Formats: sequence, structure tokens, C-alpha cells
Amino acid sequence: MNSQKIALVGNPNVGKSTLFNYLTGMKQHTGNWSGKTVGTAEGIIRKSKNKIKLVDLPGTYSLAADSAEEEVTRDCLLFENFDAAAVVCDACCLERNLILALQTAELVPKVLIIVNMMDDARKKGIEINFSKLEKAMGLPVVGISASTGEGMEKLEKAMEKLLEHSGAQTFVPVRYPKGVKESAERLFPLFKERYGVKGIYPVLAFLEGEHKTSAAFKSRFGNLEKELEIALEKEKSILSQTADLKRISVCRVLRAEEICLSALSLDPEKALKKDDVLDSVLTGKTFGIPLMLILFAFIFWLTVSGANYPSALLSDVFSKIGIWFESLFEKLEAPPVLTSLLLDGVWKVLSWVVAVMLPPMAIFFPLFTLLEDVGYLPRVAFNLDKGFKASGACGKQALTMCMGIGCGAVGVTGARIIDSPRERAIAIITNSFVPCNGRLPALIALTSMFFTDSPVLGAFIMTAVLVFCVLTTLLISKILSKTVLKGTPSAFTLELPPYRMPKIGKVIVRSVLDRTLKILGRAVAVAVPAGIIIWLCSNFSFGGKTLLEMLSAFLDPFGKIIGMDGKVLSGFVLSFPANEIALPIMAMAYSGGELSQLGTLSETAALFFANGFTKITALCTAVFFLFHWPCATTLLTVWKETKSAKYTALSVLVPLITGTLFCFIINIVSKLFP
Amino acid sequence: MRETPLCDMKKGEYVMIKRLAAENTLRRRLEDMGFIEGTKVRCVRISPAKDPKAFLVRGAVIALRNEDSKTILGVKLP
Repeated sequence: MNSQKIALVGNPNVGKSTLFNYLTGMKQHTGNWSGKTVGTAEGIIRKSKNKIKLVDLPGTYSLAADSAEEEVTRDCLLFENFDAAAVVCDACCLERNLILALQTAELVPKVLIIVNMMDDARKKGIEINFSKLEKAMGLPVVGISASTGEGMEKLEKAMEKLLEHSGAQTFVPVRYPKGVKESAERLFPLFKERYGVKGIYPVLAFLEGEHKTSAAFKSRFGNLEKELEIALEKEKSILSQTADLKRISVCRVLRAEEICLSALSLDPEKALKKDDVLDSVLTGKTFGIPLMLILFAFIFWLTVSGANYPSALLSDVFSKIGIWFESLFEKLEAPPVLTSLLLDGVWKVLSWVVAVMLPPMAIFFPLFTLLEDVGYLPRVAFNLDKGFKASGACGKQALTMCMGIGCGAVGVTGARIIDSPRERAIAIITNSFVPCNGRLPALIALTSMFFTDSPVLGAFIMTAVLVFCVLTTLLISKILSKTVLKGTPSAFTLELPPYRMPKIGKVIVRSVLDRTLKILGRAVAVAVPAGIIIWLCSNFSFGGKTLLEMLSAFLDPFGKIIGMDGKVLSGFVLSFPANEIALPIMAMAYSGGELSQLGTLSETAALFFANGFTKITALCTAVFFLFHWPCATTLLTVWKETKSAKYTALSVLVPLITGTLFCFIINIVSKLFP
Repeated sequence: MRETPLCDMKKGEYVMIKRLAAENTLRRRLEDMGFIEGTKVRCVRISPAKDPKAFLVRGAVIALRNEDSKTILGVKLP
């Protein structure tokens, strides 16, 4: 028997991904804000007898999609053959969630309503009468708490029962104005015959002129057939004499309200009380932005001060292992070239990457994930939106920037949450302006190597760096929206979810295992071949010069103009596969291919200083670290997301020009006022 | 009674929505968020720059930019 497919639908941030992970045993990343799921994820429900396939669709408020990620959900429901849909609703906000549930029930023949976050709802004094809810909707309803596992057995049974059940459900339809209902009933058979639609929703969308849905049909099936077109226009002209066509979506909202009145008792004001106090401080006029800065400074302080000791320890352990390897190779009488390649190339780069990257990541990510889980990130977007609006961009760009701190490629994909294609392009092109995890630890290392070894001052500098990045992003967004990406800001709706108590243990385990180790794994995977290539570049010579020396010499004049030198620039060029390896390459270039001096940070700093590094060189290097070009993975993602050569090129050129200009100015100013 | 656009609300004030002046995509989106005629809305958050503002509507807190929320017109409730 073919396995049956259920679509998991719901508003953003209702815990769909948590539920999906629970049922399928997979590990989709989740967080307390809209838009964590981009693209669809598929998995098999572990406990199901018939291997039910579950598809997690991106969260959407409505089938009248606004953003690229919402279109994914709409198109899947419109055109893919699902056996059933399960609509996940937030128990704390059931009424608004039911609007989408009603739309889904008008589109998919079998629908199950899942009321999630029952634990939160109970805490807020919300009571739900499930038998009344089932009766009012005519659909099966299950109450669960995906994060605690409450009601999951019931849910799995309900899903199996839903699929076994043959014949139509008893869905109680929305009451539309009489004329609309009759028109839709006349048109439905035509749509069914031509497009195979299974519910009334698309017909209603065509009637009310929801042009994005009709455009989706057009791009899939071509223009409407003449016969259908005429029938549609006829119905529309009958209906246009009344205001009924404008009432279609309103009717659903009213129906949701009616259902909730019969099955729900709550006091939304009371539920909001606790958040009110928190938000009046965190998004308030006086404290909102200062607190945001202090919060980030605090996180950086913990990261910088906490990372020092384990970093030193790791590098010590690695160098001891290196020495042990060396003596082992000697005993084995391995050829010296091989020993040098493996130890000076691969092992040194690898251990440097791990020792410098791992500790800050293992501290920064759990803290950042905590902020995400609590629900603070949408408040950042809320606080900063005015700035983004003034730059012709979308406040949700603050969210994609936060994702970019994790990983540039994730930030670029995450830009799907932005509705307007123009604003989305701005977010994608400027995404590399925030330091990703490949650059963040390197920046922390640069700071403690050249500027200060005090964690407090270091945290202050890192926060200033982040503010500088945000301001630069705003400036460049403004320039982009006045030049290549002209246009005015479009509508912006942002939900501020209730604050949630994060499950701290879970957050730490998840962010260390899923994020830190994954990213570290990538860094290591790149560091090994990079170590080999860098070693080859610095050890094979043509005409007395190694490849690295040749590249450095070639780049040197350009590097000097912008306050650096050819060796530093070679580091940037060769670290195109992954920013993590930029600093080790520079160190390798300075030490003439011998990485023997690449040890602790202070040893590395001494090496750099011995090769003519000054504070100005360090500053220019740090600035160029912030703004040069995205890594290969991110750039590939830009291409995949936009399919536009222009945007991909801009993603390289815009940060490159910005970084070059900044460094040039710093260099000139430092020369003029030494 | 005088119509007040949502963007002019002060924190804590209540409004009953009378009509939406928005058209097309914005209108549909606002409706699907629950902003329709007859809905009681409370202004619950105002960002540091006074724009956007956030409203409690049908149990959810939704932030809207002033230029969008000015298309939602209502009468003040005591």
C-alpha cells in the first residue's frame, strides 16, 4: 500500500516544527518567532502502522499568500495531492488560527484540527471545550502540548482514524452571502473538472479577485479556458451589484469568532498582563534600545571571557598531540614532506580552527538560542523597524540579520519571510554585513590579539562592532533602495508572540549538538582540504617563489592602498570556501609556510606584529573581515534563492566596495593624522 | 462619532473597528489577521520610535506600521 501524506499547516510560531520533530524523530530547528521553517520538510510518523508521511509546510496567516515562504504553503495545498491536512493552532490564540483552519477545510477534503500549547493556555486561564469545538466545526479536534508530549498518543490515533475514514467529512461550512454561495456552487464543477480542485476555496479566491491565487493557477495551468473565463465574469457581474464579494474573507473571520464564542472561555487581557510589564520595558521608549545593546554586550562579555580559558586549553592539548604525532611519524620513518604536509598543513589549521572557533560558538549559540526561544527577537525587529523603514527596507530584515549571525546561508534563505521581493533582495544582498559564526570568533580573536585582553572592553568593542554593522546595513539598504532597487517600503505585519519560559536544558543540548557541532563539522571539513592546499601553495615554488608568495606579491600593492598587505588579502581570497580559515592562512603566509608559530592567540599576535602589523593594519583587517564577500556556500544560496545573476553579483560587489572604501578611508586618515 | 485611525491610538486605548480603507493585498492580509468591521482592538505596544505600534486583536499581538494602520478606522471605546 502506498503511504499516505498529511500536510502540517498552521500560522507561524504555533509549534508546528516542534510537533513535526516529535512525531517524526527528525531535528528541524525551532524558535519562538515567525518564519523558522522555510521550505518544506518531510518525515515518516514513527509510530504509524502504515508509514504515514508528514509534510511540514512553512507557517502562514492565510492562503492569500504574501511572502515567498507563504507561497510555498499555498502552492503545496493547491496543487499537491495530500490525503489530509492537519492544521496546528495555538490554544492561546485560537480565534485567529481558526481563520486559516477554515480556509484549509475549504481546500482539502480531510482536515484535523490540532490545538497545541494546551499547557500555556491553562496557565493563562483559557478553557477549551473540545466536544463543543468539534461540533461547531464538524471536524475532529485534538488538544496537545508538543513540547511536553501531552496528548500525542491521541493525536497519532486521530491521524490514523482520519486517513482510514472514507467519504466526506461533516465540515460545517462558512455561511457566505446567498449570492456568493450560489455563484461558487455553480462554478465549482467547472473548476473541479478543469483543475481537479477538491474544495471551494480556489473558486472563492477567483470570485473575490485574490489575484495571487489566480496568478498561481495561471502560471501552473496557463490562462483560464474561454468557457471558464466567461462563466466567472458572468458570476462576478451578478455579484458586483452588491458588496458581497468584499465580504468573503470577513465571513470566515466572523465564523471563527462564532466558533470560539461557543467553545472557549478566556480573557485575552489577563493573558497579556505579564507580557505587558516585560514589553513596556523591553520595547519601551526609554529602555527598549539601551537594554537591547546591554543584552548583546552581556552575551558578548560571557562569550569573550568564557572562551579564553578553554581556547588556550584546547590549543595546548592540540599542540601536545601534534608533538606526539611528530615523534610517531619519526619512528615510522615517514617521508619529511608527508610529515610536514600532515602536521604543518592539516593538523595546524584544523587545531587552530577548532581551538579558536569552538569555545566562543559553544557559549554564544546557546545564549542566542535562549533569546530566540524566549521570543525576544521579534521585539528586536519591532524596536528597529523605523530605521529599516527609513532605509526603504523591511523590519523583518532585523530577523534575517539575526539568522545571519548564525550563518549567512541561513540568513539568505530566511529572507523568504519578507513579503516584498524588492525588500527581500535588499535583505539578501546586505546579509553578509553581519558577522556570521565563521567570522565572529575570528573577530573576537582579532580584538583580543590586537586591541584589548580585557573581556569587558572586548565585549564593549564587539557590541560596537555589531552596532556598526547594523548602521552600515541600514546605510547600504538606503543606498540600494535609492539606486538599483528603487521603491517604497511595502506593508509590514509582525506578530509579537507571548514570552515563553525556555526549556534551558533542551536549548543548551540542542544548540550545542545541532548548531555548534554542525557548523564546526563544516569548518573542519573545509579546514582539512584547505590545510593541504595552503600547505601546497606555500611550499611549492616556481622560479624561487611559492604560489602563496606570488599571490601575496600580486595583491600587495592593492592591499597597501587599503591599509593591509598582500598576505592578509591572500588570506581573504583563499578563505572563500569558509571564512573560518582566513586567519590561519594569513599566519601561514607570515611564517613562510611554517605554521610552527601558530599556537595561542598571543603567539599568533606576536607573529603578526613581527611582520609589520600595526593597530591600523589590524583595524583594516577587522573591517575587511566584516565587509568583503560572502563565503562560497552563502553565495551559492543567494543564487539558488534569487536565480538572479545580478543579485548574486551585487552580493559580492556591495560588501566588497563597502569594505574597500572603509579601509581606504581608515588608511588615508591614519596617514594624514599619524 | 468621529473615526480614529489605529495609528493615532495611545497605549491602552480601545477602538471598535468601523471600516477598512485599505484595498487589495493589504486589505486581505489585515482581514485574515482579524482586523474586520466590528472587531475590538486595543493598542498594547508602541515601539521606541512610535512607529510601528502593536495591537491586541483576537488574542494576538500584531505590530503594524503607522502608514498601514492608518487605513483601519474605528471609534474609540471608553
